[in-house]
Amino acid sequence: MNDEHDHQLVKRTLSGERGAFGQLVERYQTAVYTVAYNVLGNAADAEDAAQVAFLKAYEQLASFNDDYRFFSWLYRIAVNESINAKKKKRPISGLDHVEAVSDGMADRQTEENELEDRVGDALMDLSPTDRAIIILRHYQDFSYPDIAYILDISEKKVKSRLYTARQRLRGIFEQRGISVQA
Amino acid sequence: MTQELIDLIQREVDGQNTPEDQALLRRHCEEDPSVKMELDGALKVGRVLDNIVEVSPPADFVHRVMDALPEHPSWQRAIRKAPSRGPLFRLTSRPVFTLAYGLVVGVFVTIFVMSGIESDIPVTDQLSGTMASSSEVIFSENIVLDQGAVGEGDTISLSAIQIEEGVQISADGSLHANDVITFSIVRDGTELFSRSIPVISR
Repeated sequence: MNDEHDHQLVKRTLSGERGAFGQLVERYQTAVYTVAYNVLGNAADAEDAAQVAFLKAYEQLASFNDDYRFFSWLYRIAVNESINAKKKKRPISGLDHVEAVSDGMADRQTEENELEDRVGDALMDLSPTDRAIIILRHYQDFSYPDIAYILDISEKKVKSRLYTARQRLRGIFEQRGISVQA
Repeated sequence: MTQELIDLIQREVDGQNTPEDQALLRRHCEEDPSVKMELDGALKVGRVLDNIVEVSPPADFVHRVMDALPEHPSWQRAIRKAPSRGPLFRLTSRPVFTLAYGLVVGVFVTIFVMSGIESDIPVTDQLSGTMASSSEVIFSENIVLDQGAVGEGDTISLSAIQIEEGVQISADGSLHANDVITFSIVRDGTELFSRSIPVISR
């Protein structure tokens, strides 16, 4: 699974093979849903935003420039959709706590789940854009230039907002006693 | 703390420092305990954030997306219609838009309506309006698509859509000839759909 394969799937979709787009949805549904969920804070809105993101991607597929990674392009749509959806919604205080993707460990430790929930709640104290920056950097491991492209802001701004968001989270973590072992 | 030092710490958290950068950061930490404290705090935040949880969509998510895809996306329609339509963007007999400050951008909303429906479904009333500002179009009359028309779109697939007087189309981005703009129709705070189209000058 790589960028080239994605680009082939895009071409096949544009040539009329809808199933090829289904493969792209299958591949990226969890990533898109995760970013939508973490920006929006609840499952119902995340489902809507993720679905709209894929529909927009499909509708705009002919404008996709394969100089870019399909995933980055898709993320750009998904993040913008999520941020816009968030702006239309009333603020909420924390994440709905939904079941995490199974990693095959049926007895996943409660402490880990609690930490994930608390980190998720802390994220909700950030602005949607700053939240998106954190998600893109820490969950998806996007580079600064990728994040700049996805959010359509300068790389310098990515760095400064990432710094500010982390500083803010640091304060929240300390305030709420959230810590991990070094 | 200098910006250079902040960048060094941030890049360390992100694992993007070169060995030379790391050596420089170590020296800063040795010289100034507050830098060491700042670095430790930043690394700790980074580790906590590694606990961002991945969540899975509903099991039928892919099917729902695939079921909602338009039968004929705009890029298929454009390919299919281009030979028979001639100039893709033809002026209607009615006045269409004027842009404030004298810039006429042509018929882009008409284009949007025309390209938003199947070629065999007529538009019963043409879209007409005035560009009130660089970011807003106010319609002066109703637009009704025939029963069976598919509302352009990303998020809706209606048997009919009626856009009533006063509904606004908002354009995201500045308007210049040959630009591609994205605009959406919003009703009662809910986005009905959005679309990207080129702005044509005349």
